[in-house]
Amino acid sequence: MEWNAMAILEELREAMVDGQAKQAVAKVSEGLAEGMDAGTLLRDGLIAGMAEVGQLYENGDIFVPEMLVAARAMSAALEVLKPHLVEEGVESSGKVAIGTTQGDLHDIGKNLVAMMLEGSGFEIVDLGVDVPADKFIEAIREGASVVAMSALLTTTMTNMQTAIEAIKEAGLREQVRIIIGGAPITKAYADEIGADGYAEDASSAVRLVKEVLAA
Amino acid sequence: MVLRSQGADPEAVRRRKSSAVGVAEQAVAVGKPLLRPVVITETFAVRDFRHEQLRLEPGGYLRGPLVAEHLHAAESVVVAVCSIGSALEEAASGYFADDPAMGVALDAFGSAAVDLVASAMCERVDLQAEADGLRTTVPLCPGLVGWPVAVGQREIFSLVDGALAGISLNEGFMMTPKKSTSMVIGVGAEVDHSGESCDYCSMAATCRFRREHESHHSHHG
Repeated sequence: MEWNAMAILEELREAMVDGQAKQAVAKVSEGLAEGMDAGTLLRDGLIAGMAEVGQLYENGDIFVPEMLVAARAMSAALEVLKPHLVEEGVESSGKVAIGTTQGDLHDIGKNLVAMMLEGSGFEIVDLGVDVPADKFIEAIREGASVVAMSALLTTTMTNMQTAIEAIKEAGLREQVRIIIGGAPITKAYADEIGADGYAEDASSAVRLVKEVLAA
Repeated sequence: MVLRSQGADPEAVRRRKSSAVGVAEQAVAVGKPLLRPVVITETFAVRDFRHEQLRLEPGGYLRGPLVAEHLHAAESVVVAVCSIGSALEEAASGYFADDPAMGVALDAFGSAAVDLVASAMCERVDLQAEADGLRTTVPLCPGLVGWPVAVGQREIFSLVDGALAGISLNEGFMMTPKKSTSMVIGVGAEVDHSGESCDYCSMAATCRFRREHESHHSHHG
């Protein structure tokens, strides 16, 4: 790769880590103008930058607000890149259907996970909140390879098991990976109800999705 | 306040000159006019306590291990629900589509705001008790270890008309507006007033939001 392209990618990653949306957009535009392909800018610029952000968060070097401004920079840059990605036929890393479980209206954590997954190259189908089992089933039938469920209350987390049982009964369990998260959720609970994994925060959710898809 | 409510160390974020600081300040400016604070309290004399059940006058009860531990010596119980209304959380949801950083910051402002409303209510209860020569317990909220959400919320909302504060419970015993809180405080000459509500939370060991200083949940003997 040419030195100039490498410099653009480096500066793009830095702009993301620093949460500088305008700089991120400028670097993507510069890269495209230099003839770089959108897939490279996405993979080695945006996704690599968000991976760095995620690692900084998991290391405790930055906090959620800083992760969010980085994600904001990523979204701004991605908007510029999207038409070029479509033109190049760049595909996502996978389709993830995400929602807060039935009876639960909390959405912040779910939204954070969706944002980080999108920043890592996944296609997100956001089912919203208070999601019944049949909505997750419908998403699987429409191509979701991962279902991510969130719950914030002990009174609603049991609906995750209900949804997993319904997915089994629909004969779809083998074709989907199911991950769960939320304040009252533990790995032990995930194992108990037959989920494929548990993530304690948005950043580790990205790593988990990659792991379960590779398994 | 907004940064801390997102689990961040405000000083560290400011040192890094992060644009997150500007987002937090914007959240305060946008959020303040949207606050609709409301508090409803009812005070009940205690009839008796037996078998982990605190019976109240003229009727009603609170029960469970946490209630038994903290309220067994109470002479009266203050039951409270607090909210800041739904306008702020609706605005936060609206922001999330295009500016998730701002959406989360607004949500965090809302969490901090309802915490402040509850703190002010607790302080008022403390002052009244002190004036009466009495002590107060830590505030007990449904969902703490020893008082399941389904049990506690059902009991509280049978004692207080949440509708007066615009608060309702759904099937999962979740309050709406989301930025609402419910609690009970025991009052009496012999109640134990030490400890923090956080001590009884299942996430105490890992919670990023736990404040070590200034908390309406703490009593320092």
